[in-house]
Order: sequence, then structure tokens, then C-alpha cells
Amino acid sequence: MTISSFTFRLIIVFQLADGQPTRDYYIPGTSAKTLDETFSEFANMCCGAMGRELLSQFRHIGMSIPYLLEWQCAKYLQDLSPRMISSYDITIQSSARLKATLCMCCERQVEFAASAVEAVQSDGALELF
Amino acid sequence: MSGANDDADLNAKARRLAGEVAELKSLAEAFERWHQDMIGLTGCNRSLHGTGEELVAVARSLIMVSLNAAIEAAHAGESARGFVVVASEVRNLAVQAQRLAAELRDGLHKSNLLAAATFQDIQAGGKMMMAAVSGLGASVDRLTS
Repeated sequence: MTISSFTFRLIIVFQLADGQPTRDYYIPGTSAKTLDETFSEFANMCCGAMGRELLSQFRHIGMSIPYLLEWQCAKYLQDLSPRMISSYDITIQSSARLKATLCMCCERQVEFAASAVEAVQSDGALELF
Repeated sequence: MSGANDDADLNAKARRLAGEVAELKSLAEAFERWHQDMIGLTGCNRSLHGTGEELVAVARSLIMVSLNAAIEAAHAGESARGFVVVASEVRNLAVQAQRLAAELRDGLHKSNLLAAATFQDIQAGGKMMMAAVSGLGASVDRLTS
């Protein structure tokens, strides 16, 4: 997914470890939706929350809809000439694993001041690499 | 008197501005069109991926066939020496085809990412501009009311 403003674009890539724990977490028992469909909605909500936070700093923000790509595509994020790439290995409820990569593309440095908000502790783990 | 004329002139300009803002809202149709183009392009790339994977599989099978041919030729002895050379050349070509198929596959992954990133930027940028146009429209409406 992409969140764009006039001076930057933030590309967010989610990679799922497709297995039963992941399916159990994202697909409720009675749902007829596929993992792709359910996760796309989840990604949309995540990025929507990020977009709303960014609106407090940048007046003009727009968000794309999610696209599904093969996992091998993530190797080529450097070809977008980003200023920054950060990846996070996330474990939810000790079983469902997810990798999130933030890729920031901008011509010049993006300056903003944000107040640190204490993270709500929940059942999950986040690793930055 | 000049004050009333100024007001009328300002109102006329504000109404023209409101009209242009209303036209800009049609941009949403262009963004929808580009979104459909992206869906078509993604489908095409997916189909090319399928072809690429088949090519990789064919190249892999060719290598196995050429190896088997070389083994059979070796068993056949001196009379099959020419066949050994042919089997060796087939193997070389199969290895080359395998390398090219892998390059094609990698190229498609890169192309998919670049295309998706570009279209998503257009899509997100389009929504941003539509929001800005709506905001401008609201300001113009307040001006003309």
C-alpha cells in the first residue's frame, strides 16, 4: 500500500507467513473469505490508521488500495530509490507472524515534530531488523 | 456604487471558481480509469509469471533429458560419440534457457513492484488531490454564500 503526500510517498509492504496459525488469526471460523481478502481488509485498516496519524502533521494525504504481489517483489524495494527502509518482524498472540516493511521515498528530508505516545501493551511482539 | 460593483465582480469570479472546482471533481473518473488499467496490467504480469514458471520447468526437464542422453550415449560406446556431442550442446542450451527463464522471472517481479508502486502513488495522489479540491470547493461555497 502507499500513503502519498506532495513531497513524499510511504510504501508499506506486508508479508504473511502462510500457515494455520496465520489463518486461524485472520479468518474467523464462520467466514467464507480467503486469507488474501481478509488480510487486504486488515492492511487497509492499518494503513488507514497510519494515514490519520500522518494527517496531524501533513495537511494533504492520500492512500491507495492494497495490491497483492508475489513475495519476491519485496527484494526490489531499493529500486524505488528510497531514503529509508525499515522492516519489522511481528508476532501476534505468539503464533501469527507478519513482516512489515516501511519504505519512505522523498526528494528531500521530511521534517515533522510528533509527540511520543505510550504504546498500548498487547499480546504481541515486534522486532526491528 | 463602486462597492456594489466590486461585490458583484467578486461574486462572479467566485461562481466561475466554483464551476472550475466542480469540473476538477471529474478527476475521480480519470483515477478510476487508471486503477482499471493497473488491474489489467497486474493480470497480464500474472499470466507472464505463469509462462515464466513453465519455461523454468521446461529448461529443468531439458537438462535432465540431456544428461540421460549423455549417459545412454556413453553406454552405447564409440559409435555414439557424435550423439554425446549433441547431448552436451543440448545441455548447454538448456542451462542457458534456465538462466534466462530465471532472469525473466526476476525481471517480472521487479516490474510488478515498480508498476504497483507507480500506480499506487497515482491512486493515493489522486485521492489527496480530490480531498484538496473538495476543501477548495467548500471554501468557495462559503465565499459565494
